[in-house]
Amino acid sequence: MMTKMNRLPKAFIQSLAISVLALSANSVVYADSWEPVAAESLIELPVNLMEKRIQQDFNMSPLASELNAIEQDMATQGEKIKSIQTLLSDASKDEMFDEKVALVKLKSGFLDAMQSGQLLRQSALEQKIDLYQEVLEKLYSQQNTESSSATFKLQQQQNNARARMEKVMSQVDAAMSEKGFAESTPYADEFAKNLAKIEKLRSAINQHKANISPMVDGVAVSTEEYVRQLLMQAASEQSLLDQESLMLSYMSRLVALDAQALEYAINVESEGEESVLQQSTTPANSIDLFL
Amino acid sequence: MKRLFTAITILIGASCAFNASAKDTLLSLKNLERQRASFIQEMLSAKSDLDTKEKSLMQRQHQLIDMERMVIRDERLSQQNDYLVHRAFSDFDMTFLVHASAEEQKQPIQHWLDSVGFSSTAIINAQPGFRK
Repeated sequence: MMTKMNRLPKAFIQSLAISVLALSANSVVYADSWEPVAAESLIELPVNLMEKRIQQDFNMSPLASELNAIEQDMATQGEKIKSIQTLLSDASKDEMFDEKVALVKLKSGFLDAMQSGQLLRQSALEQKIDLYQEVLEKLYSQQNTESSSATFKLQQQQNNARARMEKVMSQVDAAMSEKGFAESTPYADEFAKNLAKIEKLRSAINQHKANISPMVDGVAVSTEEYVRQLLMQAASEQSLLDQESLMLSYMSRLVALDAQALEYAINVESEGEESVLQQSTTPANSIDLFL
Repeated sequence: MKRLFTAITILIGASCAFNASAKDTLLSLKNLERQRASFIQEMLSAKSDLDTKEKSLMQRQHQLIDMERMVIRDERLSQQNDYLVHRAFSDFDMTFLVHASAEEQKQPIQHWLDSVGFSSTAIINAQPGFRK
């Protein structure tokens, strides 16, 4: 199918080339539609649940819905690009200009969508990094407050007292039984009975999957360490996103070059038949007028 | 499902609030202080005969053991930034008299007298009169 491109305005192709070139410096600003906050309720969660909660919160955000919509749009456009590419695979250089323009247009649209998606991913990642940093700061500050507070000192003193008491408990009981107080008191009896049950409950809590220590490479780590690892992971994702933007800018440059080449081809084609070289009026060829 | 989670959260919150809103969180410590004061008073008393006094002291000591353990295990106390609690835990020897005396391999009476600085020599050397 050979089509002349007289009906396609040059301005369209030019604007297409310019818009594709401008992709890398896209000025479209998306309002951040996911604004997570490091609330107390989040910090109190076990760290592995914290990560899931953040992801869940993101999945429910308008930003995630927008990203999904863009992904779907890209998938559709990708299919169309493939089908046109298949169609054009056997076409010669001077054939099927309509399809070629449609292909450039689709590629441009695809790149636009990809750029939008990348901006959204970048924004989400920045929010996540901010959130992790906020969580880490709060954890440190909580720890400092706790360790410097009077309550913390009291707890330590009570723990020391407990350790000293437990060392001499059997000795005290033995001394009392020697003096005729062999029978334990109701408090001691009940306490001993409950102690075993309490230990069972405590071990159930420790083994509960929601309370298991976070693991990094199979090693149990502290909450702070785990959040630091999450931050490192986010930083590496950011670095990969930067690399992807470079790829995106190269792709847009290629599409711009395609558009320019197409514009040139269309111009040559449309002007070729009419381009009769007009002879300029020179003294030499006007001499007849004067003789 | 969301209602269930809310109900559970409220339930947990309510149980914590119940613990925190106990009328007197220092009760166990106050009881121990009263019991120890009574033990020392009995020990210093010259009213009853030796046998009765010993029996009574042993009875009180038996009760003191439980009370000391209750105080040491009472986690509500360390949540209270109260002078009484600070004073109690900063002086194990005087607060937990029976257990501290067992550490020193002494009788509680002897341990208390040593802690407050009473010795046989000091008593023998003591003279009636105004404090110098």
